[in-house]
Amino acid sequence: MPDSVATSGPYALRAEISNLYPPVAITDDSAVGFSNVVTDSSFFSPPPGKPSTRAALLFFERAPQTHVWSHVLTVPPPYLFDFRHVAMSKDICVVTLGPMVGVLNNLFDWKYTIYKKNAVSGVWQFLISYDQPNTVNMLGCSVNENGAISLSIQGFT
Amino acid sequence: MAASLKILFPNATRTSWSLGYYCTGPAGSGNKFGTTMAISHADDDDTFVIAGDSTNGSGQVTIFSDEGATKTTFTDSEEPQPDEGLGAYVDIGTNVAVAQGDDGWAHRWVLDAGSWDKQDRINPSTDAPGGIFVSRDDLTLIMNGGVNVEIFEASGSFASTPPTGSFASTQGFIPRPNSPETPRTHNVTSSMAANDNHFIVSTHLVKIADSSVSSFKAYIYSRKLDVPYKWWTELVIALQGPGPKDYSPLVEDDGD
Repeated sequence: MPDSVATSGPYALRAEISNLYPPVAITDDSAVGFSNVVTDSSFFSPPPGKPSTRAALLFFERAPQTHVWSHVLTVPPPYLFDFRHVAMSKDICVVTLGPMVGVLNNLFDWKYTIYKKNAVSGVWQFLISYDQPNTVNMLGCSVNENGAISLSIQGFT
Repeated sequence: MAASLKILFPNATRTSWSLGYYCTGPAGSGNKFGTTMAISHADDDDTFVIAGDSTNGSGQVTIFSDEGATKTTFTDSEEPQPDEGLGAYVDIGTNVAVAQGDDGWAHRWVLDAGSWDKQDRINPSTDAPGGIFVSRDDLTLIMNGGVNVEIFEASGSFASTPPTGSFASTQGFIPRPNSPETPRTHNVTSSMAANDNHFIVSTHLVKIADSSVSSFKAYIYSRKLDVPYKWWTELVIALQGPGPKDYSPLVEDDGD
């Protein structure tokens, strides 16, 4: 399963699109993230019995001192979740995921996952994932430059 | 169901996060605390803004600020009442918070001597906004409307007493991607992200009659720093829905 997607021409990608709201996020000046962009089945191997598309999180970065943006990374969501929100700071990217579908088909299991830009290599990498159970919906997400994260959650009493 | 809010703070190495603040929704928030939110982008993490809706169908904006141990909640009650708050932005560096309802109107608050005071309302660009941003110099406001993006520039002073500052549209409308499409034939949603020098407008279009046809388009606009108030389109990312499966070579898309 590749973790990147080839581009052709200036950032043209063949893709299928999910029916979800397409969140975008931008850092202070150098990186952009898009989520819920469902890539073509040729990019990811779908789980057995699941649709041939999966949501993806796409990172674009701007070269320093230029106005040239380029696609640097596409990652699928962990587990059988879809990305719901994306928020970015200079080196932190927070995404909410849910609901859980597939094998367990638990619509009330959600997660939020954090990607971090490696200070040495400059590569965005998965860092950690947290469970957000008993959740009906996650409604909002934000992160600031200090790495503080805010989440708005619709859950059960 | 219930609405709740979590604020998580990282450890020193920013490799794990723990709960720093938790609360349930304010009175009237029902099961939706906020659909969009912003946390302050400054050294202190004590202020955040939430734009959401409430059980009575009116929009609600909540600003939390930590002055000592006191959390203060502000609820917008000014007409016209939006049905839902869709945009929020806060910057403690300039003590400015902005929130936008789905009627398009934006409201701006200023932190003055520890108290958040509502300052002004900014004219709506269109209905169904999809995002809002105010620059850290407090001079530029970007609103993503239902059809267009509109950039407002400030003049006067917001620091004077009484404030003389105001926002005015300076750029005209910037057509949003897919704006000619009508909701009758397509579902169109949009979102926006911005910083001081760039903003992104993305549109997701799904054709109702044929769900296999969809597209995602994102435009990145940049500020031309040597020309005041001049923005231009820098990058278009266009992801076309496949329709019938077609594995022919990729074709460049100019976003039209």
